[in-house]
Amino acid sequence: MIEVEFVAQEQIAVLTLQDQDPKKIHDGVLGGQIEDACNAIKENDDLRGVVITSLIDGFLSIEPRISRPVDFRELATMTNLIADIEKPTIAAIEYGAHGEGLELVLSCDIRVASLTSLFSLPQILGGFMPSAGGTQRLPRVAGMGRALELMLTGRVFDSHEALMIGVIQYRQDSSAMCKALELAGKISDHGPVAVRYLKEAVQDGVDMTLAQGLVLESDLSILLHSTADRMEGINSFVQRRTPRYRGQ
Amino acid sequence: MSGLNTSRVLYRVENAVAEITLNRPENINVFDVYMRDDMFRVVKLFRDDPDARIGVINGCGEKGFCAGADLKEFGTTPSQLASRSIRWERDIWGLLYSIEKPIIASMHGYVIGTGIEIAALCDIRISSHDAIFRMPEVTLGMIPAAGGTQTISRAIGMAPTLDMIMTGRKITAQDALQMRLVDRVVPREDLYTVTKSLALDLAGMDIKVLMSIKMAAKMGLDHSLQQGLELEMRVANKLSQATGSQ
Repeated sequence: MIEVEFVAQEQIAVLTLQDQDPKKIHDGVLGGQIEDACNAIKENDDLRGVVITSLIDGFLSIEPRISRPVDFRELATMTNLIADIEKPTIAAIEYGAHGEGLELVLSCDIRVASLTSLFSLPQILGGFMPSAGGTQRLPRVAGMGRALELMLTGRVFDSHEALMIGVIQYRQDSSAMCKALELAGKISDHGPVAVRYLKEAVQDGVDMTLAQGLVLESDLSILLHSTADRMEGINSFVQRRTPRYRGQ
Repeated sequence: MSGLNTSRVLYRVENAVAEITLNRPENINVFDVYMRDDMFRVVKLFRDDPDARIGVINGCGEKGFCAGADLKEFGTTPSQLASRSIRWERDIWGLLYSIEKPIIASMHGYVIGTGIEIAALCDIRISSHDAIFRMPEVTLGMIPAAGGTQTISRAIGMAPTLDMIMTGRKITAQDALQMRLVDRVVPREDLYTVTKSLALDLAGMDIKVLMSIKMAAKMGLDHSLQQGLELEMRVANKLSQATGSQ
């Protein structure tokens, strides 16, 4: 079950994953809820960022043990829906992320975790493999050697190691949510179209040759010349005041 | 020792090391069209200079390496169509990236926006302990346009790139080192000598070998592993034929 709420003058959506019955993942209930949430996020022009958190120990699994072999297409679809959100997405991990929970977290842009969070991709221990993007996203984050070691052993790693290998970007003494909201707040002060194009340039660009990526960056950058936000950014800088962006 | 001094970018060669210095210290080496044009000339000169084997890019003045692009020029181009033509007519970033000789970025103080992007197009990045890094583009309603969205993610990974550019936050030299945005951090007073000594070490090596390594590593990134391995083999073969060794 997923709860969606809007905070910070409705500019930030907070998606909270709650107690999960694995049967509901099988039945596509959670997938449907995530799809609905993603559509609502997509259609909401006032929204500047998304924070995804979970009340569940492993983020998505019931507990940090070997995941059940749930419908792999269903899980892959869920993580892809999150990865396809055009607005910035930040994962706030309070109690760790295991199995498909970690795979979901890896499809967010920026990842924040509490000091005590633990992580693993333990699918191999149950005789299967990560199938919600883990085999692709973890090597891109942590490098091939480290990613293979973690997936082949299924071992648990702590937040310190997660920070070192790039699985998370911030490790918080207190609430991960607090830091995630701070980051989302900071991002929501910036030009929304520029933020969206930035994400597109970085994410689509990594799968291109550098030469192609540079053309993408240049074209998106020049498209932004037509926005009122860019003029506002320049004017506010010259006039030494805080810019007010309208996403236009 | 030879040199060329255009107004905004200095060029000086000593012991096969070319020092390319951003020279607008009164404005923390803010990058404008004049600097772009001078840089374009100087980088081409370095590319074609038989006496220069290793490049060092640094910034003049106490305050910093480069405080970004000159915002006073923004919004002055006649149209988007003109902007696009100009971007590719004088493709300084493509030129810098295409240089086969090794280039070291040596950074101090403010390293903002374009400053980081210049460094990201270099091969080795050294920074002073008091350097401050920041990508402020989205805070101004724009995105990086000197390759940053492509080169930074290739250097440090996607999530740290998005974190740095989406938030526009300040990053200390120590954080930059941990994120691998820079390769070495040294005290400000040692920056020049450490950079120089690394450049001289490289200048003492066989430039053909250095250039081959740089090319294989760079071009390999644009290919599948299998294609990259074949490329490496071809480069190594060519090199051993040229030097007559195995």
